[in-house]
Amino acid sequence: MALSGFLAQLLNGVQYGLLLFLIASGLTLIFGVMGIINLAHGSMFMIGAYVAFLVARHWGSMWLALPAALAGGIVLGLLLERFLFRYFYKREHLDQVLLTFALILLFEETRALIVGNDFHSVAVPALFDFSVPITAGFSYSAYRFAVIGICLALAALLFFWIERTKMGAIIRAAAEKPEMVDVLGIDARRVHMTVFAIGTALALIAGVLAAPLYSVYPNMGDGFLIICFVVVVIGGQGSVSGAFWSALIIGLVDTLGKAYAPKVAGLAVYVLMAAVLLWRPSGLFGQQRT
Amino acid sequence: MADKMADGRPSTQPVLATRGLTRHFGGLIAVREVSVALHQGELHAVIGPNGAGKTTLVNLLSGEIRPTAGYIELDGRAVAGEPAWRLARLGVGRSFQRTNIFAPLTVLENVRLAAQAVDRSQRNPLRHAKHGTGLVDKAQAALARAGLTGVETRVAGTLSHGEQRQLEIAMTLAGSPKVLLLDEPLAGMGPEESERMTALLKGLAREHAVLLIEHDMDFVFAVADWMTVMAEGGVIAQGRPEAIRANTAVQQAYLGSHA
Amino acid sequence: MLPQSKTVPVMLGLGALVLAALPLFVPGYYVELGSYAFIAAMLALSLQLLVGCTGLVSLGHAAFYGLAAYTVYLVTGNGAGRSIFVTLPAAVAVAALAALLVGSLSLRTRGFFFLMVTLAFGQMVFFLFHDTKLGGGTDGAFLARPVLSIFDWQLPLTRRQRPIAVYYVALALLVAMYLGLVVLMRSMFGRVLEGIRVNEHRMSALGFNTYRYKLAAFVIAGALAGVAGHMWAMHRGFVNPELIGWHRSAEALLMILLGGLTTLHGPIIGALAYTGLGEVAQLITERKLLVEGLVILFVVLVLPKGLSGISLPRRSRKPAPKTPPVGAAEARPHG
Repeated sequence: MALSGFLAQLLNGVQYGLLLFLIASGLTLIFGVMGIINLAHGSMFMIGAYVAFLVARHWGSMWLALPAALAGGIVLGLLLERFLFRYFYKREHLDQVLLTFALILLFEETRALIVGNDFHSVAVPALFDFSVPITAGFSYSAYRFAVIGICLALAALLFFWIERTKMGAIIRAAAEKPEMVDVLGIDARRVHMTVFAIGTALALIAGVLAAPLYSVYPNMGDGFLIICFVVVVIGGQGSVSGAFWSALIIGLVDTLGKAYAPKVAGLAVYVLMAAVLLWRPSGLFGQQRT
Repeated sequence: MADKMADGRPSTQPVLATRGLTRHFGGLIAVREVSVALHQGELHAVIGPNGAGKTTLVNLLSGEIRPTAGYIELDGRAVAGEPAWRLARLGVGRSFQRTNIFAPLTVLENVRLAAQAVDRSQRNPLRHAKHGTGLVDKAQAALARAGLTGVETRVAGTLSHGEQRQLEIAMTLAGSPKVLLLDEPLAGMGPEESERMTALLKGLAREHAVLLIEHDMDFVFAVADWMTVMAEGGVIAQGRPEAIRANTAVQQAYLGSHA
Repeated sequence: MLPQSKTVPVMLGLGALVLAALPLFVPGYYVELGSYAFIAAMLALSLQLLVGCTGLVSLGHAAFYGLAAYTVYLVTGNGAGRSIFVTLPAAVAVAALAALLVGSLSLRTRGFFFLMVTLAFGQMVFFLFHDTKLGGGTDGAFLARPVLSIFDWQLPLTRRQRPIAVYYVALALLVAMYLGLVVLMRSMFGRVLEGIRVNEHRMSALGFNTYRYKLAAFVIAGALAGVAGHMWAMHRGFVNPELIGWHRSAEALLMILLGGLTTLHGPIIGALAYTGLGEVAQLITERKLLVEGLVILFVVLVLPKGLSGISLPRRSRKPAPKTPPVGAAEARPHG
């Protein structure tokens, strides 16, 4: 029994880590390519979760929320880049921080106007509302398996895009050498809009997938955003694969910690971050700069 | 350590010397097994085509980046891997290829900070900066030495390009260095400014060990006492200017393509 | 960073005098509001040492503010109030120690990574008080307010006089903090911080161990935020995890931006203006966050240099000095 419990926690940790990766990859891409920190990235996750909630409330199942989040995320990302962020790439850090902080407040206020401030749970879609028997005494939620599968598929697509396409090559170059962005020339704007659209869409999709697992509530983006910062710091600058492994580590540490040492688990990821900063300040998977 | 007397170089211990200095960037080898020695009173020029690893060499010597392998000795003491600030305090001064000053501060404050950086006599860091013992005098002297007077109260960013290059040198001098690493001090200078800088550098070389990176070949051959030619990260020739000029390998690898 | 003209010190002195006279003329509500504004100003001013003076944008500054407030609770509990000469040093010491720990780790990173790390550590302190019973958990806790006493003698205050006393203590500490920072920024230490803000790379090439200077600034800023946090506890007699949350850190950044990034008096003006604005906004709408968001958008989009960046038509006889404002020159090095 103890072993199957451990296995369940292990799977939970992987599933949580993969969700974190969906959010953190967008954060790290936007940061790596545009050199801007988007605090409102957590709000994108929150919007995704509420989209799932609203869709499930109206149509009884949240499936429609996935394509809606994909399309909506792309549109939202394009609009934000085109009409707001584009004018802030060269501004002071403080301006960027406060601008994106203001966006959080405005997104949260809009959310409060539309659906209020209550907690809501979202039903697991009927298709996956069962348990998959693994061993005689242990079965695991089919929905969580589905989340793991969807996240892995999206991660594979993302890596294909970054490693195998022309735009991916530009993005890798830009993340390694920020000066590169300036010499991209005519392509720069297209790259920026694409990265923003994809990053935003991934965060929204993560929100949709998370809704049945964590329910939806005000400011839910904040906690995920800050954990994703820890993921990015541990993963290292401009490294999407670093963010992937780091997200899995954080997912496992946090989940196993909460299961086996609940009193100190909240602090575990921060202690991990402190240790990484002591040992390798530029992250476990980032390039050492000096 | 071969007998240097044969080359007509000073037989004294070099102030700064490297052995097998190497630096990788990912798969790329930017500096490969470089051994150079800088002597007191000698102007040592490093030349080579773009991408030869000259600036990386300066960055290694000044502690800006760490070597992947090899040794750096300053006055016989191993200093490879020391951070830039400690090397600066130990007497390694450098100027930058792209002007690197405190643009919004006054000219005097730029140089005063440089003097404060290596000063050990200040016991009270909360003292008003204007009263810091001797720092302002030291800064004034460095400015005079670099030929930049009468502009102390100007904002550094408003100086002409040539004056900013002089300010760079004044900041380096204010730290009372033993070794000067000068990365293209003539970059972007007009002919008249270049002439002044040439005179300045010749004077500096008498009192310091100077390593100079420069693209202007006429200038290099006119001022250098000793030369190192780099290509693709490695050293392809070392010697006196006349020997370098005659070296066929150098002509093929570098001078030929530019002449 | 420092006032260039004679006008600014005179205006600031007059402003302080007006604020000192205020409790004689206004109802108690505004005295309490004033105390709160001074506390906010201290928090913003302490953060300015990092943001405006050294160029370090921290999003975890409220952690030291909140820790100091919780220290007052942990020192006194809800028993009898202890002397401010015990509680204030204790609160400041705890805040400074925490800043030393957080700073020594987070300053190993740069730029936005520094920001993310300070935010994460700030959140760690938040969870420490939010998830454990150390300080009353989620709901927070009431505490016995520190009293103005030395040894066995205590300043006798009636219930009505106490808020006025807190008002003056907060104002005095704010003035002292401002003057202290002016002296600090004129000192050789302050010049190094200025150099780091303008061009840290060059500073280390010159021979400054910039890490140590930044750490010293971080600890001082944390300690000063501790003063503000202590005064919050003394002012409200209540602590909760919200004091530590990152929204408060962001609010302090907003006050800095609102008042102006390039001066030491900017954050004070920003804090007073923001507090006043909050009062006015309350009359119109209950959506405080909506107002805050719109104010930020307005400042960032329309007033990037803050209130002190608004240029009034100059009437002075002398032509404007050639010296460009420090921050402006830095933002556009090629300008």
